[in-house]
Amino acid sequence: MSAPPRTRQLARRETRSSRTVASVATAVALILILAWLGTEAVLASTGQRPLLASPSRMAEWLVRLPAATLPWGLVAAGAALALLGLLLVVLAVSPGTRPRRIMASDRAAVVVDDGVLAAAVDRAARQAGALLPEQVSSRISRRRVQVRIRPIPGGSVDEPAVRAAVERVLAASALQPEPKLDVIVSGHHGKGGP
Amino acid sequence: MTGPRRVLSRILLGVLGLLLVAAGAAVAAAGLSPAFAAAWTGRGTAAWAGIQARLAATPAGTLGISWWTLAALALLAVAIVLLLAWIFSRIGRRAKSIGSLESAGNADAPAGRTTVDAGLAAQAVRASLDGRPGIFSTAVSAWKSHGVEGLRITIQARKGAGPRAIADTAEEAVRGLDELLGSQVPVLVRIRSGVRSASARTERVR
Repeated sequence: MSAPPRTRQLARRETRSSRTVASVATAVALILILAWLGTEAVLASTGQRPLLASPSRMAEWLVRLPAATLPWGLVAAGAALALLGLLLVVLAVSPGTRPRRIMASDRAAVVVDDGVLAAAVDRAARQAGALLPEQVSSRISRRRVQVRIRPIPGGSVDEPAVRAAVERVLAASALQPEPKLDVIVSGHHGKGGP
Repeated sequence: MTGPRRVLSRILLGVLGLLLVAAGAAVAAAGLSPAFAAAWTGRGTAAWAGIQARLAATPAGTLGISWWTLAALALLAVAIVLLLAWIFSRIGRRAKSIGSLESAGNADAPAGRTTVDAGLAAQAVRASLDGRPGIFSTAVSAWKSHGVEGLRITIQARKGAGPRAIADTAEEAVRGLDELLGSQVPVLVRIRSGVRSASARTERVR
C-alpha cells in the first residue's frame, strides 16, 4: 500500500521553515498602502479634503524629494529601504531548511528532528562499545553524523562494532537527506580494536 | 498550501524585495550624486506634467475625472482583492471533522455521508500511542487546507529512543485510525526531541 497523495508534500513542507508569516505581513502592508492611495484618489477627484495628502501633493513631494532633503538623510533612508528589500529577497531565495529530515514510510509523512537522531545514535554507540556517556559525543548536521569516542586511558574501543550499530540506526530510519557517518576515536585515528 | 503556492509566496517576497532595493538605491544615489538628484527632479517634473496633461485630455463623461484615474482605481481594487484572497488561502484552518465517507445508498439505506469528529480521531491516535516505549508524550491536531482534512501527530521522543521504532508505532496507530475511518486521510508525523532543539542548527548530545 502506498501513502495517500500529498503526504510527500506534507513531509517536505515540515522540513522547511514557512514563508507564510512574512508573505502575509507583506501582503497586509501592501493592502494598507494601496487602500490608502485609492482613498486619496477618490477624495481628490470628488473635491474632498485628503486624509494625509492628495495625489498631486504626493507627486510634487516625490519630485522635489532630493532637493528638499539633506543628502545624508537621503543616503540613510535609501540604505534602510534597500536593507528591508534585501531582507525580503533573502527570505525569498534562502532554502530555509530546518534541522529535521524525512523518514521513509508507506503510510504517513514522517519527519524526525535531528536531535532525536543524534540521541539515538549516541545511545547505539554507547551500547555497542560498552562506553560511558562521557566517552561518546554525537553531533548531526545537514550532511554528516559525527560520533566522537574518547577511550579511557589504557582501554580500547571496538570501533567496527560502534560503526555497525550506528549504521543500523541510520539505515533503519531511511533518512532523506541521508547523512554520512564519521566515527572518530580520539587519540588514535583508525582501528581501535584489541 | 501546495507547492506552487509556496513558490508564489517566495515570488511575492522576492519581487517586492527587489523593488525596495531599487527604490532604496535610487534614493541613496540622489543623496550621493547632485547630478542624479537634478535628473530626478527634472525627469519627475516632466513626467508629472505629462500625466496631468493626459488626465485632462481623457475626461470620463461629466464626472470631472479622467478615464485613467478610474482605470487606476479599478486596478487598485483588483490588486487588493487578489491580495486578500491570497492571505485567506495562506491561513490554514483547524478541522472539526475528518475523513468523510460517502455512501451511494441502496434500497434499505438512503445515500449519506459519514464524518468522524476530529477530537475522536485524535483521542484514538493518542490512546494507541501514549505509554508506548520510546514515546514521552503525544499531541494530535486536525487541520484543513483546500478542502482536504488531515491529522498532525507530534510525538516527543524519549532521549535515545530509536526513530524507526517510534515511526513504526505511529504508523500502526495510523492504520488503526484508517480502519476506524474507513478511509485514509493525510497524516503528518513529527518526531521531536525536547524544547531546546527547536532553534539549534547542529544537534549535539552532551
